[in-house]
Amino acid sequence: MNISVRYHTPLRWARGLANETVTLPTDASLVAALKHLAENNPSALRGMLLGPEGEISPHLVVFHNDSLAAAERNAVTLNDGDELRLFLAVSGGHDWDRAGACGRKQKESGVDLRAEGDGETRNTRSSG
Amino acid sequence: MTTKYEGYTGTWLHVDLTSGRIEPRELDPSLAEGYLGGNGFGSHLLWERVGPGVDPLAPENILVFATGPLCGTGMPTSGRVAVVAKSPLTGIYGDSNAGGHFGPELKSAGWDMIVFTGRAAHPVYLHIMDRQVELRDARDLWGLTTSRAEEAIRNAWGDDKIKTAIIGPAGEHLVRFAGIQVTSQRSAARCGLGAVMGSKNLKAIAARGHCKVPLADPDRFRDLARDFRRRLRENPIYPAVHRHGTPGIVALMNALGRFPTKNFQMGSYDEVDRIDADALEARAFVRHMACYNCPVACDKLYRLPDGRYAGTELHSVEYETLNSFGAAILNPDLDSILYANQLCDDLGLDTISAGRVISFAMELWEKGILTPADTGGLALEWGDVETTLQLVEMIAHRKGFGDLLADGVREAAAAIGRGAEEYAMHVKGMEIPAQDGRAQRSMGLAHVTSTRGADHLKAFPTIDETGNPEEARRRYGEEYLPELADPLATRYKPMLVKDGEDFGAVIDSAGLCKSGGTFVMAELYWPDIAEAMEAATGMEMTVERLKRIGERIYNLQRCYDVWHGITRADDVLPRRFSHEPSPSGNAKGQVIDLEPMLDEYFTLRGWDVSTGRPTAETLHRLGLADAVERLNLP
Ligand code: SF4
Repeated sequence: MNISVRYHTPLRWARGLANETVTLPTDASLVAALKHLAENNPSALRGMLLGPEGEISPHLVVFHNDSLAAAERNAVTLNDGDELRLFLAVSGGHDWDRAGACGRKQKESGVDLRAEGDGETRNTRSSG
Repeated sequence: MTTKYEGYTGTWLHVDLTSGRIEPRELDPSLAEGYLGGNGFGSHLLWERVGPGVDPLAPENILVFATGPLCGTGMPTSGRVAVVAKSPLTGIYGDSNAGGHFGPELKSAGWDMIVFTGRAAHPVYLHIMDRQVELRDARDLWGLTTSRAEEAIRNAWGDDKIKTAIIGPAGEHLVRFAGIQVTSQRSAARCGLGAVMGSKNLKAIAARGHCKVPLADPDRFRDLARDFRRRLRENPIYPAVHRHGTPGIVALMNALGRFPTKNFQMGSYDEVDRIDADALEARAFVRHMACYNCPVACDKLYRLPDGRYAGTELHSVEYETLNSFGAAILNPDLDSILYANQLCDDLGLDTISAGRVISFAMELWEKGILTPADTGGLALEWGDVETTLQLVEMIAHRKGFGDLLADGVREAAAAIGRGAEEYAMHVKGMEIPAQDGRAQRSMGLAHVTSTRGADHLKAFPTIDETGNPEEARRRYGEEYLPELADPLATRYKPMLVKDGEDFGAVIDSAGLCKSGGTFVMAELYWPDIAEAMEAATGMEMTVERLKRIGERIYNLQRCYDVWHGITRADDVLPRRFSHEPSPSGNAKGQVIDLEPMLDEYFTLRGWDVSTGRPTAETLHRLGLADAVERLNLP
């Protein structure tokens, strides 16, 4: 079966295109579709689709035929002609243990505070 | 340094514009302990000095520009300044918060805050060069746009590093949603505080300073700042926020059915691809910009290279403006949106309210409530760019039909009558931003519990926007899932809104940015801010203490509104949200019922469920005993 996939910023940059049609086995699940995309695309996109354990990334927002696929998204089955729209979430946030909720427990990161951010920054626009 | 706490300069300015007297005052340490700075200071002063009998545009209203203890420090995103006054748009508590560089400059000149009272006999501006402060004649600046006035002031002093807060013609003409342009780049846009400035004949503040903010524990503070900066840069959402800023969410909000279209008749716009972040970047991006000490740099410089509006150049094109001058009026012409944005900045208008009054008028035209006899012959067709731009000018100068719209949708609807109220999308007089509560229940609740009228930024519930459980889990634990992360669920949303309001009150009072990691990106939370406050000020600061301060500030703002007659009956959304199902996107078929959420919210707050007034017990617990007496609470 064929499903269409629409990538939205910044997944669009990672994929290098806005839309594509992918062919999947009949009755493939949403999880299988995302894994298929991850396996067949650049690593930058893979990192946005899947987490370190191969699970759907918690920061990925998926619309399945105009409906938000949220808590139930591991159970979604796709049909021929379905559309997936992929976005990055708005909130984000780190694992407290990795980030350290309290700075006093952190080692210096080595970032030079004077070198950046105060005023204008460099143009980092990518050509993609 | 006169206060016992670091992080503050220890002095503030009282400027009485009537007499022209300028007095330096010492910062009372108990004010810092109770209210931190920024919005907290402003809320306290408003409560102390401006009662219900005072017209917001009368000399008796005060106008406060307040920094916080983290403002102007090495902490990332610490460039915010709060402006507080009674709002001429709503008649209740009003505040607006701006980034850029003005706040840090004011603080480095040695002032934590400026409080303006009275009214000058003729237009003036306040010039601050470190401890040297004077009122200058601004008669030759009156009538200038914000960018021209800033240029004139910098030229007059031969110093292009001067940072300004300026009103345009809209503020001078007392447009009730006039904003204050802060160093060209950012705005304290909401609540009509530019009109308060105009009513005082105060054209601008121009500041230049050379001091450093003293810190209680500089080494610990530096380590924290480095760590926060690293965490922001490593946040998974950072690349998107940095690259596009708030326009990056246009397409997502549209898919959620949360992108108000045609004056909230719809929640999705079928031409969104023409005005989203990719379209904006491709058409006009020049370079990234940042507020003071901000690694996120969500701000951008845009320029239109050709076409009808060629040469249009501006910063900070926000999600909200792409909606209010785009989808809200069915205008897919990106160039004209940028031009309208620049026009609003120059004239000193809030782009949200300006776009909303125009979409309101267009719907009245569509419904036949407005006719050429009302509009002076103007036809208000959806998507008519020329008329839209003409209306912006007419509003700012209060000309013709623009004079009616210059009072905001609530007042305009009341003046028009004939059922116009039905289409006035506001809460307590404030036009509703591009955040449709039918598509996100917490946002619907946030609009009505906001102390300044319709507003997404007081509670700023970001973590349930997209159904992503990750951040909800981290901040609140597993027990509230899946409902807490579901945008269409109501369960637990009162808790989310209350926590956001209290946390937001602290962030706005500390001098940090809500878009730079505290709400957007959701990276920094109570423990981080408590530790930063302690390292900056030397105040012993536990999370519990900080939470109590946030709660105190928010309760005082609510008390101010209650003092001005606000009750639960005012905590309502326009009928459209509860009776007209959203026709598109993820919210298709949805309406919002606020009442059960409000019951729970008031209970959590310790407010009376039937009246919405804080109870005496709650106010005593928060150290607001005087409010019990003033509000005559049992
Ligand atoms: S995140 Fe954006 S608005 Fe906030 S301080 Fe940084 S550049 Fe300014």
